Formats: sequence, C-alpha cells, structure tokens
Amino acid sequence: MNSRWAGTPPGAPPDGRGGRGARAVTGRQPLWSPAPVPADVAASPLAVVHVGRWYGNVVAVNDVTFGIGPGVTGLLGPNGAGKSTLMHMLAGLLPPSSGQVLVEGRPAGRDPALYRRIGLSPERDAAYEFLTGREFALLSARLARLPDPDAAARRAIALVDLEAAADRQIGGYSKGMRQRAKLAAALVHDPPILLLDEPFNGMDPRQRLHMMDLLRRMAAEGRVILFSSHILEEVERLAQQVLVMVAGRLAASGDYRALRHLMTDRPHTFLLRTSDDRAMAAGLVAEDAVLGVQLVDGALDVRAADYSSFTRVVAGVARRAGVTLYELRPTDESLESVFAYLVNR
Amino acid sequence: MGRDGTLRQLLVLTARQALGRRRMLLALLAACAPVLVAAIYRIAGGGEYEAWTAGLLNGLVVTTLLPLVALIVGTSVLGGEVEDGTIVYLLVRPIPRREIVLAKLAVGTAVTAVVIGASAVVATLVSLPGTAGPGTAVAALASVAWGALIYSSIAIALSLLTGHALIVGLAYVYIWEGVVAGLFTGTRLVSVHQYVLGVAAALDPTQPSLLPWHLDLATSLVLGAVVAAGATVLAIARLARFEVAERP
Amino acid sequence: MNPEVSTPPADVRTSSGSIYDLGYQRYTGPRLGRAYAARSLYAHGLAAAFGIGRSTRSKVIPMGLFVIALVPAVIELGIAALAGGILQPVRLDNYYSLVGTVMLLFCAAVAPELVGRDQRNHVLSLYFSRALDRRDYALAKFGALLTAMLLIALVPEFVLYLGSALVGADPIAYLRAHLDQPGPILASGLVTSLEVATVALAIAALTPRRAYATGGIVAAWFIADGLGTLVASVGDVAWTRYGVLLSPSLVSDGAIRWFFGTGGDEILLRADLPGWWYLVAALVYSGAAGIVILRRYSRIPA
Repeated sequence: MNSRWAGTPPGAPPDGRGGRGARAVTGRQPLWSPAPVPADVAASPLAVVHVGRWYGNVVAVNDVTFGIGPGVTGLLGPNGAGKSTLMHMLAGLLPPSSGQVLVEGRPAGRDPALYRRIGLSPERDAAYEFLTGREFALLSARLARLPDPDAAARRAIALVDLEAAADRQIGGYSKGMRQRAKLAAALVHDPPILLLDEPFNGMDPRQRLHMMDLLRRMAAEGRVILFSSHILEEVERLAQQVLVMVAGRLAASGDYRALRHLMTDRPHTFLLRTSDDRAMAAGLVAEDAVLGVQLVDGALDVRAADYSSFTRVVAGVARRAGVTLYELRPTDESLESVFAYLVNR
Repeated sequence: MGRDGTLRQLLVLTARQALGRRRMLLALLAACAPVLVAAIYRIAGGGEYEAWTAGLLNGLVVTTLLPLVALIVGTSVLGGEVEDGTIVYLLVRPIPRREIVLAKLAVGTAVTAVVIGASAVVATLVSLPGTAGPGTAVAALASVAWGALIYSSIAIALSLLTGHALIVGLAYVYIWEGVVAGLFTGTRLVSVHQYVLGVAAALDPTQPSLLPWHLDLATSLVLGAVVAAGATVLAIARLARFEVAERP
Repeated sequence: MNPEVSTPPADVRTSSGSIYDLGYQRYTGPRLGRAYAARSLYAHGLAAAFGIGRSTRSKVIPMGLFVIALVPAVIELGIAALAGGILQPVRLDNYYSLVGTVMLLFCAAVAPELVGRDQRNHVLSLYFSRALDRRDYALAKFGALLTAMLLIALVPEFVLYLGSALVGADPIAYLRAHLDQPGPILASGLVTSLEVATVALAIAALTPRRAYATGGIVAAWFIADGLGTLVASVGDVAWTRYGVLLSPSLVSDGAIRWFFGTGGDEILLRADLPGWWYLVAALVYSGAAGIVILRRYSRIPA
C-alpha cells in the first residue's frame, strides 16, 4: 500500500488516507484505527481524526483523517461519497459515530459559540421563502450577534453581488440567487472558517467566476475555506489542495499534481509531436520505461511506466533516432484523470 | 438571554412564518365553527343556555378545536423548519438553543390562544344571553390560553422527537384523552384536557355544576405546569443534540 | 487509446473519439399496458399504506393504529370468555363509534403518504408519461386507500364475530343463529371506509405537504362532526335535527344502525330520520369527494 504512495505529498498529512487500513478489515469490525494522530493534523484549524459516521448499516464516512489549513481546499467526490455528511460533522451539526472533529482545537458541536468562527452554506436549497435576500442576511447578522448588523448585511450582499435582487423575496429567486443568498448568510459575520457545500450549484458561468474570485481573495486573507463539489473543473480551478472522497473513504489528499505523480502503478500517458513519429516510436518501444506507443492522428500517444524514468529517457531516444521533438506533454494531468483513477481502482 | 435582541429576532421570524402560511387559514376557519353553531343556536332559540354553552365550550372548543389548532400550529413552528431544512440557519448561529425553543413556544401558544380564545369568547357571548356571558367568556379565554401553552409545548417536543409529530399528537388527544380517559377515569390525571377543564371550572361561576367531575384549580395548574416545563426542557435538550439529517 | 482494451465489435470509433457499444437494446417484447400498470400502482400503494417496503419507522404508525383498532374486539372477547357474555359493551353495531377515531387517524396518516409523496417529489409527470393516465393513477391510489381502510374496518369486526362464536360452547350453533350478521358487517365496513377514504383522499390530493394534509383531514372531519352534533342537539326546534347529516361520523353511524336494525344512540334517536337517509348522505359525501379527486387529478400540473 505504501509503495503506491511513495512519500508524502507536500501539504498533505502523512496519514491522510486513514481509510486504507480499514479497507482490509470487514465491515463488522471496529472501524477506528489504532494509528496515532499526526501532529500537523491535530494542529490544523479544521481537524478530522479517525472520523466515521454510519446510519444503521450504511457507512457514510469511514475512518477519515485529515487536517485543513488556510487557503481553499476542495472536497471532491461523486454523489453519495459522504461529502455532505463530512461537512455537517465539521459544522458541528452531526456528531461523528467514531473519532473526533476539531475546530480550532475544540470539538465541534454542542457549542453555539463556535458559530462565531464558522460560516456554513448548506447544500440543501432550503430558505425562508417569505424573507427578502436582504432580510435574510440581516437576520443572520443579528443572530450572529454582530455589533452593526445592518452594515454587515450590506457588506455581505455586496460581496456576493446580490444587490439587484436583495429586496425581492427568496421564494422567487433562481437557484443561482439562492446560492448567493446562502453565501451571504455564511459570510455575514466574516468568519475565519468557511464551509461551503456545493456552493456553485445552479450558478451561471459568470456568477461562478465571480464567486471563485471572491473565494480566492478570501483565502488570500488567511481564511480556511473548504468547499465541496462533484465537478472536477471547479475544484481544479479554485483549490490548491484537494480531498478526494470515494464511498465514504478518503481516497487522496494534497496537491492534485503531486497526487498524480504518486500513482506509479498506472501508466502515465504523454503526447508527443516529432519530426518523424515512426522513427521515434521505434526508439521508444525499445525502452524499459515505455509500455506502449500508438500513432494517433499525427502524434504519438505514449504510455510510460512512470513519470520520472520516462522523462529522463525521452530526450536521449530522440537524439539517437535523429528526431526533433516539437511537443511533449502529459495528457492525463487533469484532475479528471486523477479522479477517474481513484474511483475506478 | 437575548441581550443582543436575538430572542426578539426569533420571535419576529416565527410570527411571520406562522401568520404567513396557509395553515393559518385552516385555523381561522376552525375558529369560525363555534361562532357559527352559537349563532344557529340563538336563531333557533333553544333553551338551557348555560348547559348548552358549556357543552359548546367543552365539547367543540376545548375537546376538539383547541388541541387540533395547538398541535397543527405547534408542530409547524419548529417541525416545519426541520422538514424544510431551514433549521440549519438557526443552528449555525451563536445563540443558546433554549432561545429557539422558547421563541417557537411563545409564538405557537400565542397564535393558538388568540385564535381559539377569540373564538371561545365570541361564541360564548353569542350563545349566552344576559349577565352570565362575560364571566364564562373570561374563564374560557383563560383555560384556552392555559391549554394552548401545554399542548404547544407537547407539540414542539414531539416535532423534535419524531417525524410524525402531528399524527402522534392527534392520537394522544383523540384516542387517549378522547376514548381511554372516558373509560378509565384514573387516566384523567394525565390528560391535558382535564387541566383545561379544571381551570375553566374554577373561574367560571356557572360551570362546576355542569361538569360531572373536574380537577381543582391547584392540581390543574401544577400538573399542567409540570407537563409544559417537562416538554420544553426535553425539546431544548433534543435541539442541543439535534442532528441534521443527511437524507431529506 | 489504450491498446490493451479489447474493443467490442459494434464500437464506433474514429481517430479522435469512440462510442462504445455497452449492450443497450430497445425492448421489443410485449408490453403489459394500462391495466397492469394500474394494478402495480394499486398493489404498491396498499403495501405502502402499512409501511411494507418502507423503513421500520414508517411502519410504526399504521401498524400501531391497526393494532389499536383491534383492541376493543380483543377486550370484548376476553370479557365474553370470562364473564360468559352477560355484558356486551362492544358489539358489531357500535364498533365504529369506538374505533372511528382510530380509523380516521389511520386514514389521515396514510392518505398523505399515498398521494403527497409523488407531488412532493415531482414524479407525477413520470407516471403520466407511461401507460397510466391521470384517472388511472387517481383510481389506483384510491383503490389502495379504500382497501387499506376496509382491512382496518373489517378485520376487527370479523375477529369479534368469529371470536364470539369460538368462545361459546357451540360455535356452529352460534354461527347458524347469527347467519344474518356478515351482510351488515360487510355493508357497514364498506360505507364507513368509503366515506373516510374519499374525503381524506380529496383533501390529501390538494396539497403535497404531509402536515397540511393530515391536519386538514382531521380538522375537516372533527369540525363537521362538532358542528353537526351541536346543531342537532339544539332542542325544541324541528329543523335542527337535520344537523346530524352534517356530521360524517353520525352519518356513517346512522347507516350502520340501519344495516344492523338497531336503534342508535341518543342523538340519532332524537333526529329520528329514516335509516336510508344516512346511506344516501354517506354516498353523497363520497361522491362529492370523488369528484374533487378526479377534478384535481385532471388539472394537477405534472
């Protein structure tokens, strides 16, 4: 198992894949892991330590451990992977069945004071339909016990670009407007920790860009922002760090490019354009680092055993074959391929 | 509590929720029924005004309408938010959970007491000629308010305990209080209906002779207060441990 | 792109893209049609009424109320076994006045589940785009509710009837002496169930929200009941006796007493209306509610 994860990706907790250990164990056995909690996880503003959550026989989250620091972290996974369960546990709205969820070192839940530090935008499209967007933000500000709720509500409405619709009832809002109203409520008390469950759902591309911009700016101010999505492109564009959940387990965590490089048991594919594709292909096939070469549409599609050994030999092959390299690029660096790899394993 | 006015915010929010909804229409429609009957009675000119008015108040208002409206309103003020998922917006704020429950209880009680109380007062004044009317009306209003508080607290606790709060509450009222308490008289001690009648009987000069049996005022107040306080404490404790359902 | 992937023969591929044949086929066999679809919906609805095929939590209410509806019969049989039938507090003809509330609550819990969920989850369009049409859907749901109501109405009656035979010394003689009973039992069960089921379904079909529907059913029933009873009890005036026809439970009670040929309680005796009036009133209520249901389903946006 560890050979697959040769080394720890930068920024990822060393034991970021706590679910691994539990996998060999049958479902009936205890799901907690005896492994010690890594120090950097426990010290993170948001720490999830050997957390499991099950509903009867259904395991929603299975022995997950990670820590999240400042910046934007994307929580990625298909529907039903346990993202919302995890979000609710982080927000203290759902106790874990096992393990611990720590927010700034204190257990989440049962402590209303914590909500001065956390802003949550839930996935569910629930709303007080009879309130206007402005009234909703104002109510949230007042319930957050802010000294100047009017100013805070105004600021939040402006941040999410909802001014035009702020005086209409939420009941008449489009999905995108509802999302922004929820975000305004989550932001209204300027929390250092933001938990956003599927925040871009229903937003049009322009709003999406605006919101990504906003989140990037807020992250730059040192906030901890965790957002979930099942859309890879969103995560790829916004998050420096990703957590990938599959079927309740944490499948990967860290920088996704770093993750990709760690997956050495799957061939990497590269696209090569050269002055003489056939000669280059002949030379490449002779190399141990190359598993297969295909001529596709005026380019070479190369499957390499692993990233580093291929990139070391490719220049030498070209020189020996007398071929000029026009283009060399990895074709599966996208988060999509990382994700497909993790899900299909 | 509520030093930043958070309780007031919750009260205003809940009042807007309760009054803006269609079930308010249902409650108002229900409130018209006793007045209608009283009017028919006066037009028809049937005798025995005091006995008949007591029958109207005890039979229709206190036995049927009061618990019905209190349960419908009481299960919706908090249960509606749980069902819709909007409860999350209250839970992620730094406010004590008791403020949420107390605001919901206050609004639920007030709505029921006003709607059914007004209905009882008007129906009494319509059906009782002469001087006996006002005394009976005041007694009816007080007992309805007392019942509204107890039933509302039960409804709110139920809406946090089960997804079928309304039907469970109705089963308690119409099976336990309606049928079982009629057959096994000892069970009257655990019947909110009897606490309401006890208050009415103590305050109304005409009623005692018309009821075959009733609790005295002190017992009605003490037992009612125990039930209301117990249900409210239970609701606060449940809300503090509230788990947001993953699957809606 | 991957040379190791074995290529299914039917794949369409170009150099830049490919469509894989995953084996999907168009169904070419016979189709079972409307009747089968309606029957399936009916059977599913009937099971769902008792929470069968749902979680344990959704079984508690319907099953619990069903058991409560049986309690008076069991108590009566116990009394009959111990005291030898001297006392008969629970009889076939007054059974519904004891458990009528239980039946109403059962219906108020079940009807919104049957028709409300589909509206709540916006799946009506899926039904109506199949072989079923709107009327089939309404009839299948109504059939399921009516069957469920017949079960909760008739099972306790027959338990009481057959049980009374079995606790006696000579069951055969008892049954022979009471051969006239099954007819009124079935008729009264049918009228009672029909009235409750149609009225409840008409209200439940109007709203997707369970709380509105349950509250509306119980409120409408009890308020009409209270109105009717109170109006009928206004003494000394001839026309107020028609008030009993306002009360749905007095109406069905009157019809039941007529079927069994027994007198009825005080308020029915005072009203002193011909027995068949009650049957007609019950059918009028059911018919009116039925029209509401069909109209609602012919117009409901799917």
